[in-house]
Formats: sequence, structure tokens, C-alpha cells
Amino acid sequence: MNTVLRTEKLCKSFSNAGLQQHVIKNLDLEIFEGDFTVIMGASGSGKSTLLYALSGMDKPTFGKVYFGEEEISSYDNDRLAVFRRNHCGFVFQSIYLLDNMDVFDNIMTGALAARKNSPELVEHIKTLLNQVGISEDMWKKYPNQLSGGECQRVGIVRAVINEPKLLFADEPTGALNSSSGQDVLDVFTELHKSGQSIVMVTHDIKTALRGSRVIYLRDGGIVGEHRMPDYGTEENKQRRGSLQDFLNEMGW
Amino acid sequence: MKKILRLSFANIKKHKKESVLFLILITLGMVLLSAAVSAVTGIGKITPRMVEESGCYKNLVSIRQAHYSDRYLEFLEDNPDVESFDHTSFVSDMIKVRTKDEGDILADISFVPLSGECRMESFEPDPEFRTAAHPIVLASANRDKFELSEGDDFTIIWDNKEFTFTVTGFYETGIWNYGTKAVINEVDFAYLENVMDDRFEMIGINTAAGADEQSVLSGFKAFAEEASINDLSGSWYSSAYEETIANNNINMSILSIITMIMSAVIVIAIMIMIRFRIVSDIQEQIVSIGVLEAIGYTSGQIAASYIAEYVLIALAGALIGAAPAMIMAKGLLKNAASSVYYGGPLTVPAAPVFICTMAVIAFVGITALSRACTVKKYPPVMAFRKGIETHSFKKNILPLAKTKGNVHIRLAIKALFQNAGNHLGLTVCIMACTVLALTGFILGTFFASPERILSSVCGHELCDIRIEALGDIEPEAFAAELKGMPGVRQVLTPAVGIGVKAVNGNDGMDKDIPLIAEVYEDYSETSTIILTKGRFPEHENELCVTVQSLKMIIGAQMGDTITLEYGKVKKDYVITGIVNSVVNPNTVYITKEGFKRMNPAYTPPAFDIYLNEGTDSKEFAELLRERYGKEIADYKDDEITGDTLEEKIRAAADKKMAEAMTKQGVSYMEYAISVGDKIITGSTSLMKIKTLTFEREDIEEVADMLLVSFAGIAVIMMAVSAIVVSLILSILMASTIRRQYKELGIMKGLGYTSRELKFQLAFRIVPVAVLAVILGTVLSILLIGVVNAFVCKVIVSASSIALMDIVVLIYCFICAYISARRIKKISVYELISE
Repeated sequence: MNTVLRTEKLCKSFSNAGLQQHVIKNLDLEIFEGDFTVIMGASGSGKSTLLYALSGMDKPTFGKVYFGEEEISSYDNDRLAVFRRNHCGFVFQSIYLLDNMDVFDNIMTGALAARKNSPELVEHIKTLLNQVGISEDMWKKYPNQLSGGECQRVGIVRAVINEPKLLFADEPTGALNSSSGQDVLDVFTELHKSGQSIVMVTHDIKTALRGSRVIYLRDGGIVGEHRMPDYGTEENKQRRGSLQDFLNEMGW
Repeated sequence: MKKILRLSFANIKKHKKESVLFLILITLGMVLLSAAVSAVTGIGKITPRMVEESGCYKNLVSIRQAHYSDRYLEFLEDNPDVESFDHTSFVSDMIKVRTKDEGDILADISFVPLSGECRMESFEPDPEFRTAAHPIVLASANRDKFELSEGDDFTIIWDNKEFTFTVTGFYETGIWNYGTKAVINEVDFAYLENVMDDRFEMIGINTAAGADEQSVLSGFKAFAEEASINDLSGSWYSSAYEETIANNNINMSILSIITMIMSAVIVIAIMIMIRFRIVSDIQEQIVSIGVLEAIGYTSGQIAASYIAEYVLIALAGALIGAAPAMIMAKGLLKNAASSVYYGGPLTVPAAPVFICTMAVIAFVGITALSRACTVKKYPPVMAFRKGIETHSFKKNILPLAKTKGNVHIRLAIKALFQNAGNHLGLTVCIMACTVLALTGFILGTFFASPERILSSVCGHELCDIRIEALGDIEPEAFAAELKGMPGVRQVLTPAVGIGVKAVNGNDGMDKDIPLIAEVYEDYSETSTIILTKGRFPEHENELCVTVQSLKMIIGAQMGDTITLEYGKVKKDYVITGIVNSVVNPNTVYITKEGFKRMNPAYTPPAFDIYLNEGTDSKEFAELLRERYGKEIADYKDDEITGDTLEEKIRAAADKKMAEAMTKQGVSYMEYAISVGDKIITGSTSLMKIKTLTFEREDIEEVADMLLVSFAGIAVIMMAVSAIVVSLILSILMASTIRRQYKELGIMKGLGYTSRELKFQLAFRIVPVAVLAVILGTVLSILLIGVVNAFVCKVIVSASSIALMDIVVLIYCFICAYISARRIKKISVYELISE
């Protein structure tokens, strides 16, 4: 498997009222192409901090992050922005659609950050929206006219519109009810099956079950890693069992 | 109240930078407004104070001595409307004053004898005045102008003659010939009176209580004209006290009025920015407003906290700005006082500063109140839902699917349309600043060259050297002779400064309007008489006028016929054009043939010489003196000297002839003097030059002073505009970034760089700025049109205006771009962690 992203002794600290809080400590990690990597851990273990350091949303305090052979941790903010728009897609827990734009414009805003407008792009968006179950009558609607699940599916289309090398997701179902959450996770599974590399942070077992590799974080370091069995006929039972065992081992 | 203030302080603390920017804007507006109002109030007291402190007469009449008679005073002696009067002789002219560095400064000085000044004002000379050989007491304004102190020499140069006085003191003059006066002893005055041509009699009159000053003065003139059986219009200058106060106040208030206009622009900006910011604050803090309402704060209390926030800032501005306002008011007053040469103590009225400060605070409060009341629209539940706004589904303007070209421009314009209401205020602000900057720029650049000042303010032809000829010269032959001299480009034969009268206007009413006529043979050869409308006179029944002349001849306009009178001969003339003039306002321009209709014996008295570029006018003047003799005054004033008896006799004869030519109007003389067996002969054939003046050079010195004043005002106007634009754009950008913090963070997360987002934010104001600049330019041109109609023609270059407009646009964009730098601080991680 090809490595898409790797870290070397990654550290991230925050200063709060003069006190240094070390959230990520000397973390070495590789993210592989085509993998659906799930990062789990207890609250405060550094999951989201790691995700944002990996994705170039935030800069590490020490250590290095490599995208292929490029060391992105040395980039300035504007270069990181260009990196994000060209290689990454993001799905947030709070969705973060732009309230003042309709569904189509929200996706176009993400798309046009990286490329020029074209009839093919517009067609591609339409296809993706249909694929995630957002019908044409919703395209002109504003975010506050949609349900949470619909918003998140729009968010996923926005994240993948530029065909990113890596799709990052931070608790994508955290703000959704269980039915909407399942719909969203189905979209992720489909994306993974089509070859999309995904890195997702979650503390929900049902969500983690969709992954192909689970990394467990504690106190800013990786304490365990588990590769999930492939999808098959007995998929759910086998995958659930193996994940359960792993998490038990981790003290979940 | 405590609750409200706590909320206000919390808001100020939260938005420190914006509050500071508001503080600067409010303080600046407050300082300019209160200083200007205070200065204008103080200015009104300067002229009465000059009269009171100097003890001078209030109503003044000056008459050329050639037309003065003591018989005129009979009108005043037994007049119940006249409380008191007195008179003195004085001589006045533009002379050169030798400076300490041996240079020359052109100055208008009026020399008054000691006894005369003691009668006209409560003047008391220093003891040194009585003992010094040639004492002089100067108006105190001259102390700084010529860098003089008591005991210094004061050398004047007139007609190539030097007179040196010893400065024995300085004094504050009254309102007659203020600032230009110099008191000398009787002996020196008698000497100057003999050699200087412009001799006057000044009559000061104080009217009795309740008497009409104007009717006393006009009655006095009518009496004098009857007594002299002469028309005294050309040599009678009178000013009533109320008229003097009004004119002085207008002259002194110009800078203060410009300051007031600038403060008005700032006050408009304050109003618009406060309204914009309160709306932004409410939108941004709507959920917090809901929470506050939910826990028991009333919407009135929350609205009051917004009002209190701005009133507190305005109060801080008042505290900071009070002292600078007083200092600036003092500066404006000092500047105003210096324009009437008043150097006495100046008191800055504090009441206007206080009243203006209170007015600005009240204005800020009312403006805040008008917007803060919108809080009442949001009960807690609606506030939690972020107000009704987010639930009103607007039409999607400029959908991104139709983007062609730059997405950042599309996004910027899209955002602009979404907040069009907010940008209306910005349009007004930038428009007002553009008007200020552009007007300053147009005036500044137009008056940046002495050439332009000359052509626009003079209304007078400026040659290099003007010769006033004497004797029986044949004008055409003399002009041809001059033209043949090396270095001469052109010679014109004009007459200038001829006193004429317009005796009836278009309204059919009899009038008696004194005007000055300029006479040229062919106006197409002139270069600094600039037409603003119509054409120059070509035929004998045509003339041009200045705007001011036109105003004096009430009801007249281009194409009308007016009647001029010269030496009791009246002729009709058609107005064919209007000429630019500020310093020679009451002028009419007639052709030579046209003037001959009133004076058939007219021959041109002057010869205007235009030199080629590179020819030195002083050297050329020496050449003229070699060929045509010295100026007549030189002969007249020369000491009778010589090495031989013959030389002494010739010098004495020349002096006698010169006196006869200037005083008795003799045109030609010959002499033959027998000394022993020798006969010494001579004639006036070498006395052709009465005076020789360096027109352009002399006026350019005045123009240079004007240039500095215009440049100063233009720079101040442009600087204030620049400061206001940068402040309002900073406030606007800060508020926008704060309000759209989340959106900007999301866009950063999507991969938009800070630079791209800064561009988007800055580009939002470009269409607004373009509209504002277009409107501002139109208004500026209209404003300049008013100047053109009432003062002088300011030639507006379309390319320089376009260039300035582009500069304003670029400046707005740069200010907005720099102000948007706070985007850099928005961290996607912080946004997501919220």
C-alpha cells in the first residue's frame, strides 16, 4: 500500500494561562492510499488535534508531516490553504455550510477554490448530489431549509468535489440523528469502496465499523492499531467482533 | 444604569481596535467642528476689537489728493449724523523693501505722518521716534514679515531710489490700511509726498448713534462732487463700518469654513459608520441578545448599552479633543487675524467648543438610538434563531454555477449584493471624501503654477516689461522700434487702469458704477487675459467684462448693451465675453477703436514688451535706459552733481525738464543756456520713459504667496479625506470580518488563502467606490462650476481628474486590503474548536 501521509515525531502543544498542555506527543503515523482510517480515543486524547495537524488545518508544534515526499508542516498558512484545496476534503461535525449560499453555491464555492468553472463541473456536482440523495428540488435551498442529514450530505459533496487524495472527517455524524447518521455513513462507505482515502475521527463504534483501519489514541500517542476484516458476506458480524475485541483491549 | 454601563464597557473591551478607530474619527470630527465654529465666533470680534484698541475711526473715505479739497469737510462739520471726524494725508504704493539678506520683497506700504496718525488713531510713538534722524514705526505685522526689530534699518526702494529709516517701534493698527501702515516724521513724509505719485487724503468718520453710515458716506460724496464740479468716482474710495466688518469676516473665515466643511464630511462618516456598526453588532451578537433577554434584561436596556457604548466613546473623544480644539481654534483665529494684520491678543471663545462637543455627543447618541432600537424586534426565541433575517430566503444573486473568469471577483460582488444596504452608507462616505479630495486636488493643481494663478486671478495682461512713455512719441513707430530690439518677441500698446463708469444697466435704472477699463488693439495677441465665456471684443461697440463687473451691473448678461461714461461722454457697448479675474474684479475690456469713441484723442500710453525665453528682463531694462534715457523720476530726484560746471548745468536742466513733464504735462522741451561764450543746449528727446515696471516679475512674487496658500489648503483637504477614508474602511472591514468570522473560517478550511479572502473583502468595496467616486466627481465639478461662476474660471483637466479618481479608487482598495489583514488571524482550527 502506498503511503499518502506520514508524520515524524509529531507534537502539538497549547499554552493556556501560561501552562503548556501537550496534546500530541512524538507521534509517528502513516496513512495509506485507499484506506478508511478511523481515529478513536477517549475525549481529550487528541483525536481532532491530530486530524487537523494531518490535514494542514493546523501547524504542529514540533515534528514533521509529509504528504508524499513534500513536508507540509513547513508550509506557511497560504501554502497550506493551497494544499488543502488541491489534495484534501473536509467533513465537519458542525457541517459548516455557508448560510448565505444555497446548496449549489455551497458546493461551487469549494469547487472553484481549486479549479475553473465548466459545464462538466456543474454536471459533476449534479451527479454527486443525486448520488448522495439530494434531489434537484433542494439545490436552490439554503442550509437552514434542510435537515441536518441533508446538510451533511451536501457537506460531503462539497468535500469530494475536487476529487481529493484524502478526505478528512471529524465526527461527521456527531450532530445527526441515527437515521441521518446511517445515511451519511453509507455515503462514506460508498466513497471508500470507490477508492477514496478517508481519515475519520469518531468515538462511535457504529461509525468506526465502516473503517478499514482503526487507530486508538491515548494521551496524545497511538496505543493500538487494528486492521478491520474486509467487507464480505459475513461482514457486519465479523467486523463488529474484531473491533469490539480491539477496543476492549484498549480499555474502551 | 450599572448593568447598561457594564454591557457597554464589555462591548468596548471586546472590540478595542474598532473602538479606538471610532474614537479617532469622533475626536477628529469634534476637533475640526468645534475649532472652526469657535474660530468663526472669534473672528466676528476681531474687527471691532481693532477699532476699539486702536481708537481709529469706523467709517473711512480716501480720496486721491489731486481731487481733494478741504471744502468737502464742510459737509461733515455741521452734520447731525456725524459724531466726529478727522483727516490726514498719506502716500501709498507697492515698493520694494530691502531684506536682511540683501534681497528685495515687494510690499504695499502706506506712509502716514506722525501728526496725522495721532489724529486718526490713539497713536503714541516711543521716545526714540523724536530723537532718531529718520524714524519709522511699522504696523506690527511687518515685524515678522521683514524680520525686523527696534533699532534696525528699514530700507525701501522706489523708482530705483533707496530711502533708509530707523525702526523705532511697532504698533497695532486700526482698520484703515491695516498692516500696511508706517508712521514717519513730518519732514520725511514731506519728502516722500513729493516723490511718490499715489498721494491720498484719508478721512475718518464716526457717525452719531442711530445714523445710517451708508447714507452719510454717499451724501458726503455727492457733496464733494458738487463742490468740485467733478466726477470723483475714479478717485473716491469709501467703506462703511458694517461693510468693513462683513468683508473682513468673509476674508478671515475662509479657512474656518473649509475646516467646517471637512468636519461635516467626518460627521456624516461618523453617522453612517455608527449605524453600520450597530447593525453588525446586533447581527453578530443576536444569540447573546437572546440570552440576555432570556435572563431578564429588557430590550430597552440592551439598546441603551449600545447607545452608551458610543456616547462613552464620544465623551472620551470630547475629553481628548477639547485641548486640541482650543489649540486649533487659536491657530485658525491667528491665521484669520494675520489676514487683517491684527497682532493683538486673541481670545478663543470656549463656549462654542463646549456647545459643539455637546452637539457631537448628542448627535452620536441620537444616531446610535436610531439603530439600537432594532433590538426590540428580537424577542428571545427569535434571537436564538438568529433573527428573522436568516429565515427569509432571498433570491440567489449571481449564482456561482454561472461563474466566468475570476471566482474571487464573483464572490466579492455576490457578497456586495447580499449586503447592499450596508454599503449605501459607505457610498455616501466615500463620495463626500471624494468631493473634498477632488476639490482640493483641482484647486491645488490648478493653482500650482504661478502662470495659472496669474491668468486666472489677474484678468490682466502680464508682459515682461511695461514702459509708460512720455513726450511726443509716435506710438506705432516707437512700438516698431522696440520690437526691433534684440530679445523682443512681441510689443503691445495698451492702456490700463482707465477709470470709467457704467451709467445704466439692463434693468433701466440709472447707476453710477465705477469700473476700470483696459484697452488693447487686438485681444488675440494677449496671453493672460482669459475668457470664460463668449469672445473678445473685435469691433468698436463691443466689450468684455469680468464676472464681478457683470454682477455690479445688476441684470446685465452677455449680449446685453451697457452704457459707459468717460469724461462726460457716454457710449453704448455690447457685452461679448466674460473674463477671469479675482484681483482686478471691476474691469471692462475694450478695443482701442472702441475706447476712441469716448476719447477721440486717445493714444496708447503704455508699451508692453514680451521677451524671448532666456532674455533677462533686468539686462533688457538697462538696454532700454541706454537707448531712451532713465526713468523720468531718476532725473527728477537726482542730486545736481558733476565734475564740471557744464555737467552740473545739464543735470539741473534735466531735473527742471523732468519736473515740468511729470507735473505740468509738458511733452517736449529744449533749452539753451549761455555760460560765458559757451552755449549749452539740450532737449527732452532722451526722456521717453516715464516709468518702467517689471509686470510679470512683480506679480509672480504675489502669485508665489498665493500658491503656498492654495497648496496648503489642497493638501489639508486631501489629507483629511485620506484619513477619513482609511478610518471608515478600517471600521467597516473590522466589523465585516467579525460578523463573517464563521464564513471566512469555513472558506479558509475549503482552501481559500488569506490573500484571496483579503482580495475578496477589499474588492467588495470597489463597485461602491467606483459609484461613489463617479458621484463625487460630478459633485466636485458642479462645485468648481460655482467657483467658475462667481470667482474665477478654474480650468479642469479631464485627464488629471480621471487620474485622481483612479488614485482615490486604488487608495480605497489598498486601505480596504490592508484593513482586511485581520483575516490572517482567523484560524480554521479555532473556528472548528468553537
